[in-house]
Amino acid sequence: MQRIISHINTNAESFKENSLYNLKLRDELKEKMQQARFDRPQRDIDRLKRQDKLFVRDRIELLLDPGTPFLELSTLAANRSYDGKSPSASMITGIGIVNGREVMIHADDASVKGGAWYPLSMKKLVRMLDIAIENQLPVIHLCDSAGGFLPLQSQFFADRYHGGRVFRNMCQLSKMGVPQLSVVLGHCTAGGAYIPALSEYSVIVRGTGAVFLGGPPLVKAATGEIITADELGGCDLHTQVSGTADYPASSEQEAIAKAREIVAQFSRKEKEKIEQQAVEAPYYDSNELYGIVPKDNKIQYDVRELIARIVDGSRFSEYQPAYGSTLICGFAHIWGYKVGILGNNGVLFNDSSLKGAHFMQLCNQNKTPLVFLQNITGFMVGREYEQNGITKDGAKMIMSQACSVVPKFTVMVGGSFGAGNYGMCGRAYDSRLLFSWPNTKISVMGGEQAADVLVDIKLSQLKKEGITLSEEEIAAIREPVLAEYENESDAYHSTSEIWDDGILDPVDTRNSLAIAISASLNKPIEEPNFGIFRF
Amino acid sequence: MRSFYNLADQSIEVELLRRAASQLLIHNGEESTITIKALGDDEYRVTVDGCSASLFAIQKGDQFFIHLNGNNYQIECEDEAQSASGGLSDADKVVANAPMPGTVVSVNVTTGQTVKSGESLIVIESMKMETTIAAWRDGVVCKINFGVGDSFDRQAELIQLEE
Repeated sequence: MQRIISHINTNAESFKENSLYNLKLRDELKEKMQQARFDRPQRDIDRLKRQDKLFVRDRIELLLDPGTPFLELSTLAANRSYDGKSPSASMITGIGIVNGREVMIHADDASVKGGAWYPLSMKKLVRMLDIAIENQLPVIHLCDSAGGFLPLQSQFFADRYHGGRVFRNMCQLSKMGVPQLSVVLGHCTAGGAYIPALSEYSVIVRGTGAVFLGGPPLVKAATGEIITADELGGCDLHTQVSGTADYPASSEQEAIAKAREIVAQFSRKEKEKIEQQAVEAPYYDSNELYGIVPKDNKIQYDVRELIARIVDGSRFSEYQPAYGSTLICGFAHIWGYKVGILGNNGVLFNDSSLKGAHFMQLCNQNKTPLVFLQNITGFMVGREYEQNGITKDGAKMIMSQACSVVPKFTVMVGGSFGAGNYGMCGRAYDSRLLFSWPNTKISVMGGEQAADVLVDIKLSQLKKEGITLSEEEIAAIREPVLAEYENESDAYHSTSEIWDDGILDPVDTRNSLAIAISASLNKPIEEPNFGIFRF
Repeated sequence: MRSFYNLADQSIEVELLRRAASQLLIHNGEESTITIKALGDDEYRVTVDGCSASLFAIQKGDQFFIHLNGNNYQIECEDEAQSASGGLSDADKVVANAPMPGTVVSVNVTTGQTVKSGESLIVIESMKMETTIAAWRDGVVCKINFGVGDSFDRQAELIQLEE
């Protein structure tokens, strides 16, 4: 396979400027991650010690196989909500290795408000289970949550993808034959009690672990019965009397060791076989990504330069290199796994849409997972393009993408605007995992365009009333719209709302994709089957 | 397996066939029997038709660096499709066509100017994105068809570059 020849001049002024800018973004990201992971008030750390509990990060450390990678997801979920009081949405989720098995992990963070679930915690938990279902990954729950954060109950209880979905998803996983294990390290109250109850296996720590539908205060209020948490739903009650939990443990360390032993009993299913070859590091240095991505995301750059720094040996077998050149398609390998890559080199035209639709069908036919590198302002507009059927050609691309049965992975590497987000496998299209880079912007249209449209509408309304506006008055309408767009379209807003599965330092893209591809192969790939293409 | 290598600017085509305990190398129709034994620390004992020598070899990407009998050799593995390509490349192109309809944001060169490959010639804007049309080879700017603010259609001839 031919190597991509890079045309990047690493001594150019623009390269140095971009590097400075993107390294600053990376440092900001690292700092925010560090805060979300470890910054806790001393009194909360002290309280955990008093309760004889480990910090959630230490629990995960004990659970995972030493020296293996852990792909943490949505570390910055809820970073823009609840005044920042719910770091990582009060729980850790991710894909890791336990006794040689790829597993999905969910761990409540009791250092924040007793591990109470906020609306975005519920969303993160549902998403975590969706990932487990889509990839058929066993799940390990490290349970330690006070339950739903009651003041916000209307935002997480009754709707289709709210709390009930957590338990619905757990049942579906079980039905698919994918085991779950709960380690009860704190309280599992109300809905949370169903997590160990619906798991195939459960371990509970004596003294600190408890499972009950109503905690002692609720019981007292309801029936007047006065009882301690341990008597009501502790280790001995559930492992000796009720049978709600399976294994007693005298400490967290013992509980987690027991959990590792249980996972070792899971039978390993044969993974889907896709094309694989010996791994080769990229020929070009991935650190150069910082200098390639422009600091102004209005500036188009060649996505092949990114591909060259992500794939094995920087080798890329480009499909239709001379046709539809604003969409780059081709085959490559990531950590040995064969993939089909689609990356944007400009707006989508008729030809680029058709090329994308055709290429995705090829990948479905030969069981090649798809990787989308999304940097797209949308489909081309204008009379000539409508005459040529840009809408129906775009529809073909969306149909081909949405009906693809091979695993799909999306990385937001620049802008993601309008229907371009759809064609290139945005959040709604079931990417197995979707990551953003810190520089990305997502919105239905660009901020400036939206502000202009709104100003135009306002002006024509006022014109009917015979009123004209001064420059300052127009700016007064325009500026707040721009500011809101700016704020709501950046990567931190996206990841806060869990529109992605996390923000990546660009140099981590290759490794993260490899873990994601490896995990995806736990689920067999179906036979290709598409809907109706409009010709 | 047929492979192409480049040694001292010469392209070499060889075929390598696996045999029971050795490999058969075919080069220019001549067959040689080869065995290779790794001795560790990048050292190999290579036997060609009964003649044996030890050498050091290191691979970096497509490059092999070989040290044999006090001499250094650099061999490059060539891609099969690349070796067979008819040399159709951007270097022969005279005109840059617009990849999309749009307007000219800036013109960074003047007619008659000498430019180096990779240098920015014109910046265009289309659908909110700016694209730089860079020199696809060294040459002289012989014609610029649009000025700043001009709009153009897809495939319009933007600029001409000659040797």
